[in-house]
Amino acid sequence: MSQTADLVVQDLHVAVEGKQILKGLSLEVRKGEVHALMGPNGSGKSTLANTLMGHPRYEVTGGDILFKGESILGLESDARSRAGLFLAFQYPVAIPGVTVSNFLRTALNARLAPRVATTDGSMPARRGIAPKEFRALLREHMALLKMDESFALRYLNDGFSGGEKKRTEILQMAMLKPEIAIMDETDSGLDIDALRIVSEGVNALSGPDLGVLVITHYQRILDYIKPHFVHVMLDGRITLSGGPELALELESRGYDFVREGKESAR
Amino acid sequence: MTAETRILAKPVQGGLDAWPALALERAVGANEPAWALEQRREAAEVAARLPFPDRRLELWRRTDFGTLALGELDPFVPGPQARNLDDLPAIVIARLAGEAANLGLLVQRNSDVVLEQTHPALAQQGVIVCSMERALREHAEKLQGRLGALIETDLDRYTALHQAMRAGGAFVWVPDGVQAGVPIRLIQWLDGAGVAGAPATVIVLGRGASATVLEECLSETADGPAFFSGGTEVFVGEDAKLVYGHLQDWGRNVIHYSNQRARIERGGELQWIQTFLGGRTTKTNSYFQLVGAGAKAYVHGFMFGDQRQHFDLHTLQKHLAEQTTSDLFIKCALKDRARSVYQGMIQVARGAQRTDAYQANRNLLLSDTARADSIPGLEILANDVRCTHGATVGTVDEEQMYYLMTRGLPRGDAQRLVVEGFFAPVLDRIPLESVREQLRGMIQAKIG
Ligand SMILES: Nc1ncnc2c1ncn2[C@@H]1O[C@H](COP(=O)(O)OP(=O)(O)O)[C@@H](O)[C@H]1O
Ligand SMILES: [Mg+2]
Repeated sequence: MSQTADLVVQDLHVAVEGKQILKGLSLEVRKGEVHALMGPNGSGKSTLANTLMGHPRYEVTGGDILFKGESILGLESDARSRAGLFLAFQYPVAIPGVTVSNFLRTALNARLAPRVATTDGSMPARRGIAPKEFRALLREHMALLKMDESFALRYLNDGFSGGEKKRTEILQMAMLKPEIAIMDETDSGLDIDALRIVSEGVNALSGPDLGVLVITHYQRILDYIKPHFVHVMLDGRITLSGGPELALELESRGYDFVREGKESAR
Repeated sequence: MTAETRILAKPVQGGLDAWPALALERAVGANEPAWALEQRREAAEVAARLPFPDRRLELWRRTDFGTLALGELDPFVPGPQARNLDDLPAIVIARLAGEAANLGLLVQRNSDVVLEQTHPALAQQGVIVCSMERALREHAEKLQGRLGALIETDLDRYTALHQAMRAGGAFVWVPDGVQAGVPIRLIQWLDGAGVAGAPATVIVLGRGASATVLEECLSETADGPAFFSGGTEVFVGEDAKLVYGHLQDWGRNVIHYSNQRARIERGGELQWIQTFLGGRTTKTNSYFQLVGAGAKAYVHGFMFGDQRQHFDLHTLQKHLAEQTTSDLFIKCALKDRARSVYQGMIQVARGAQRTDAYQANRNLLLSDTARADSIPGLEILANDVRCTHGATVGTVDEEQMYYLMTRGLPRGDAQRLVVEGFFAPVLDRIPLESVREQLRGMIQAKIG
């Protein structure tokens, strides 16, 4: 337990277009743990998630992010992903013309041996996962999320419903096998059935090899994905941390009690 | 003679002015019918009085052929007859991907059709796939009133010259009610630098007929310019259905100018695919005339330029009858210093009520130095119509790049995927899988 956490966020300060959003946020997540990060709209939850993944628009103005003991601030998003970080987007991006299947195969192959450019400029032979093996893997994971097989041939997130998008995020998480997964409001826009399917998917993946940071502003998803730790975020900082009971307290009392607590602490 | 025979082009004595008379002499020798010879003479006269087009003309404002000295090229370079497929250039053999036995196939090399292959299934159906030269001897009555009927001789000097100089080309005829049993491929090949090619192709589908026809332009990049002047006239009969693809994959030295026309009768349907990947400068005018009620034209195209490639496509969707539909979608991606010009026009005649016309042009710039011009236009004289058009020019979306990169794709792979995705909806329409996959490979190689 004394071992350093897999993901360590230290006194993180982040600005977007000159505006300071995160103002000294600290957090530690270990594999095997489920953390919930709760906070009202605009408190900076997505800013944290995207900063962890290295979105070029978010500028780290102070603090550090360590992953498996090393700072990842100098790494681009793709390197962070290959190192074992994953973000399920609040608003997944459509990639027209690229099928779910083609995309996932490319993403898996990017994790295998790097492709070497040939000197004559021709296409290097595609090594990596065998097509048959890939199809079996994809089918297996799609079944877990109760996705129809025809889904694999649709263009990624293009014209998907809210629920389909969120399911596809979890499908990617399942296929890419991260060590730490951040789920940014995966519950928003989902009806109860979809929420259950998505949560069961996440629960099936969790275990000693996966740490999860569930970002939400409702307690609802926490009925399905049980957190070990709950953090409350207000105005760019974590202002309160506790066990699962904190989520219930927030549910009944609202964020105001945290705000008031913060006031009175001054 | 082997496929790799060196064929040398040499300028004609007397230059450009001497070309039409020599072409006419050859046509007389080939026993072309009188009306076809007369067409050549008239075109030669038009060519003689027109200047070469320059930037003062709207259709030539953004495109020229640079330092091309047409008169220094050779429009009479022969093509050695191919006894079989093995005699064809290696790139053509590779392109056919071992599927030649399942095709109607015609291959032109320089000025001559060197291989004509009518598939037994087609022959049995009465489908004709043959050289224009043979067609003018054996099927002249089917060509009269069609060859040269859709392309305006006086459009510009190149077009007039093309009709005077016509050499080679293909004739495809699908009789009434016949569904052509195998795809038909018409391949154009140019040998190296200094060559000028000018085939004329006519495709006719009878009432209720259907067919798939691909015209493909292939050559190896050579040191020095070559010029290709194309003319294709397509007649889609009543209730007929044609899938037609024009795939331009020239070597980088070729300057390409072509006119393509399609006329669609009542209830007929044309699915048209147009792709530009090769060549140095490409300029194409593709016009679609919907002349009968219920006629439909679906046009999809893409261009992908790199280095200093220049592509210019002008389309015209001409609605002349009621309840006609045209749906056009052109995608263009440009790298390096490549340039594209897309000029689109929708015309709806007074009587063409309840017409549905759509035109979209999307441009993706992959470098700061690439440039795409898009000029849409509408001329609508009917009042009960639905016409939509739109054009966009943009760069690769940074949010798409970020999303893909958070899945572990390096920047280059992410961009490749986005660009492949950009072309996919058009690529998916290319009718033969082996051709589609080869074009996909060419796109991937070009993305780099
Ligand atoms: N790309 C951006 N450009 C400008 N402001 C932004 C951007 N992203 C977030 N913000 C601002 O940062 C604050 C926090 O936003 P966000 O991290 O999305 O909060 P949450 O996810 O908790 O709702 C908000 O005030 C929002 O307006
Ligand atoms: Mg958010």
